[in-house]
Amino acid sequence: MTPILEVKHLTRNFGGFQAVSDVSLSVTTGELTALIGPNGAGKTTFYNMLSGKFPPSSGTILFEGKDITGLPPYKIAHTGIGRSFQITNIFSRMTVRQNILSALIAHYGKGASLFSPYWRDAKLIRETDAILAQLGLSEFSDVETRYLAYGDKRLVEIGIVLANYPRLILLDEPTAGMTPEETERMTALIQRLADETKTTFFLTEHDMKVVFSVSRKIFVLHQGQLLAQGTPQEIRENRKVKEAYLGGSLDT
Amino acid sequence: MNLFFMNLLNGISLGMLLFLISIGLTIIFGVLGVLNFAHGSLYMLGAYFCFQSVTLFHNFWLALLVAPVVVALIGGTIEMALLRPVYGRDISVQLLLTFGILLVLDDAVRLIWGSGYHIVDAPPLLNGVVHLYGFTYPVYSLFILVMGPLIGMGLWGFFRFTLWGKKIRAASMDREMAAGIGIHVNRLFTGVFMFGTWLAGIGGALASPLRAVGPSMGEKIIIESFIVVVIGGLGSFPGAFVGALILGIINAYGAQFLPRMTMALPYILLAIILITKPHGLFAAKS
Amino acid sequence: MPRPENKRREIIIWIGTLVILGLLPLIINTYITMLITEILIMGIFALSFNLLFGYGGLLSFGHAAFFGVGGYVTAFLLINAFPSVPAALIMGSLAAMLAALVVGYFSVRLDEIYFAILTLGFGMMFYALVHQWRSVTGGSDGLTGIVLPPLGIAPFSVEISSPRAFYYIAAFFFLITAFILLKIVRSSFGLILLSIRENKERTTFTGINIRAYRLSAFVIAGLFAGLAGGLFALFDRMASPSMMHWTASAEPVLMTILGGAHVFLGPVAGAVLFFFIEHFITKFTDVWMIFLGAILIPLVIFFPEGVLGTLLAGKRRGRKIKNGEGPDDTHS
Repeated sequence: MTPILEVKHLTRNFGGFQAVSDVSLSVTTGELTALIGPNGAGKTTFYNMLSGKFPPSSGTILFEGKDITGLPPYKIAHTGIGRSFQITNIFSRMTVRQNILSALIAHYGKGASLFSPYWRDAKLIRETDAILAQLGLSEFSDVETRYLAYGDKRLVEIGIVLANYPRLILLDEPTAGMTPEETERMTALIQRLADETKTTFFLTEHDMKVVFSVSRKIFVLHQGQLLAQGTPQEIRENRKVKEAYLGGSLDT
Repeated sequence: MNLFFMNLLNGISLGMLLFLISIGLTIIFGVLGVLNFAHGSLYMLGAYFCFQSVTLFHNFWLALLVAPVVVALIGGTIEMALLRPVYGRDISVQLLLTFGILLVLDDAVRLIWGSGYHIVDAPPLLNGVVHLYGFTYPVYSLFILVMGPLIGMGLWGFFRFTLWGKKIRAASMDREMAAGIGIHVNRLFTGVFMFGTWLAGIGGALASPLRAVGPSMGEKIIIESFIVVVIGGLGSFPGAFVGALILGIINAYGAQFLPRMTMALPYILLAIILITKPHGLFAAKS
Repeated sequence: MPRPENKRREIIIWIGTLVILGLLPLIINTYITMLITEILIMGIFALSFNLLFGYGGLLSFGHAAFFGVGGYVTAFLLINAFPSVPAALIMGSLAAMLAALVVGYFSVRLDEIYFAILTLGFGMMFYALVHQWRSVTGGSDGLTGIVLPPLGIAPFSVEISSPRAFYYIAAFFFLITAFILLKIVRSSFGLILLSIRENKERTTFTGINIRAYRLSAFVIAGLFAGLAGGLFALFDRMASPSMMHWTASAEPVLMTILGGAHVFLGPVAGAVLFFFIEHFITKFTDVWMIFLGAILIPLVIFFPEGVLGTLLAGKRRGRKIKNGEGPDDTHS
């Protein structure tokens, strides 16, 4: 069991405030993993370091054994890590298809071709259609994403991430703001993608129902520190975790 | 040495004038999030209104009082009628809108007062020269030199100690929070815009005896004050002060030491600062 | 995904434009010919600007620097070096491209207002340079006395100094520019540029080096701005510092907003409107900018997509679901 992601002593300071302090953890290849913790625990900061939004103050990040600490986001994307954002982050004045195409072009490094029309690239089109079908978005392919329903916008973002064919996907609160139906759809999708593809998912989530139903391994962050790790069952029974959540909300 | 000293005075006095204009610009940006391209035109209006009032009332001090108020009223109208619909829109949209206002104001001035230049005499009290270390220096420039820091300190006190000042600072830091603690945002925005344009008006009125009052005044000063607020850090109060001083002094000494480069110097300064500190010297933490 | 019916429509549009531009001088007088020549040249300038603004989301307020570099280099070479219009134009455009590479290198890492102000500053640096470097640039008088040599080699040479002949030169370069830029905005590169405009963060996290793309766009825009400037210098028979002043940089901005930044030909439509307004109003009064401003203000507030953009959006809505997809932002 080789870890796809190995994080050692990761720390990030903002001024005098330590948002993440000395976190070490590893994510096993193919194992759907979750990172949870109360608001302000440092989850997004942690993800931002993994995906290169800003470098850690100290510590190292190994992806498939390769040191990626401090690389800029576009380089990390090319090493095989994709991410979604807590607040939907898509191209709103472009069609659904163009959203996916853009990420595919980036993935294949075809953006430098100044004169080749992307919509005549059979390979790109084929792969775009496949991704859209996978997400159940085919019927909206020519709609500008700003006109989509909220849940569909989130799906488009997943599609953008998939179009990079990452081996590790970081999902930052994939069901945030969703209706129960949309949440169910998203959960099923994540489950299916994790089963069907070789992709490893590493997600943060505030909805404990989702976390406990999909993940096989859970890390708990609290005040920037790793509080606990284990299987859903172990986490559920962990007293420290219960205290951190002030009881209650862990009972699903 | 004397020339050196005189240029220092010139530079500071020029800087103080720039400060008055830039501080309005930077306050408006800080609170409303709009970079007002028409700010230089409002400064010019201040100068024209001062000229007009002097010809009407023959009293510079009265003009100095009246002109900025009229400018502020125009500013308030602009904010309520034109800026309000574009808050929250793209920053370039706002820049272009205020650019449209600039076009209208600049040509309106040409329509009303013609394309020629007008002279405003300094009030008798300040109309002489003083002898300093063997050279003569206009009293009026010294007056500006004193007025700048005075108004600056007044503003600082206003922001520091008054309720409205605190409200404005709160709003410039976090607009939503400001609304949350019960600040009437619409009224605040109008107030701040009027305040900023009032400062531009004062700048224009104070400048009128120093420079010829003409239709291209605004065009020149707006670029200079853009440079000031950007090198100082948009929205930063001390940034505007330091930026204005640097620019004023550079302009003054450039004319002495690098006459062939004076025109380019402010832009070279701007480029150097933005390249090394992309958000200015006193960048607010975004 | 390619749409045959649209392709046919497009070929018809291109041929139609070609025929109209070709026949126009036969039915209009010299004054209008010159007016349209100027519109075509400024159309090139505005199109090049909009590659940055409409497609890349970068509001440059110093684009006239490259317009000016193109103009000065073209003029300087024609006056001092060799009597060849094509060679001078090419050198002028390349010089502008080089200037854009330097300015762009420092500017594209900044955003929005900071980018706008830094480009404005660089533009004014160039302005100050040509103003002061009298021995080469002629200072505030500019470079005057350009004589347009005939095109080609005698005995097959053609005179191009007449307004009509020069109109054809401008039209030729306009079509070439429009063709190339349209190709670019519809390419993979163009889609990435659009993505950067739409969402910088998302784009960088899909593996795009934003600075490299922005710089490329900046350099291409500089090249065509230089071409426009070269043509303008030939048209005016001089290159003057005013070509580089920030108010000159504002012109393509205004044209683009007038016509619409998100439609490919928006800036050209804007150029037509701009000159129409100018020539119509200056018949009555010199202060025409007040009218321009009075049009610009409501346009920005109520019709941010510009005149052409608004018209086409209305038309497209009717057609949309039926058969429309593809490069939505790039319809001409």
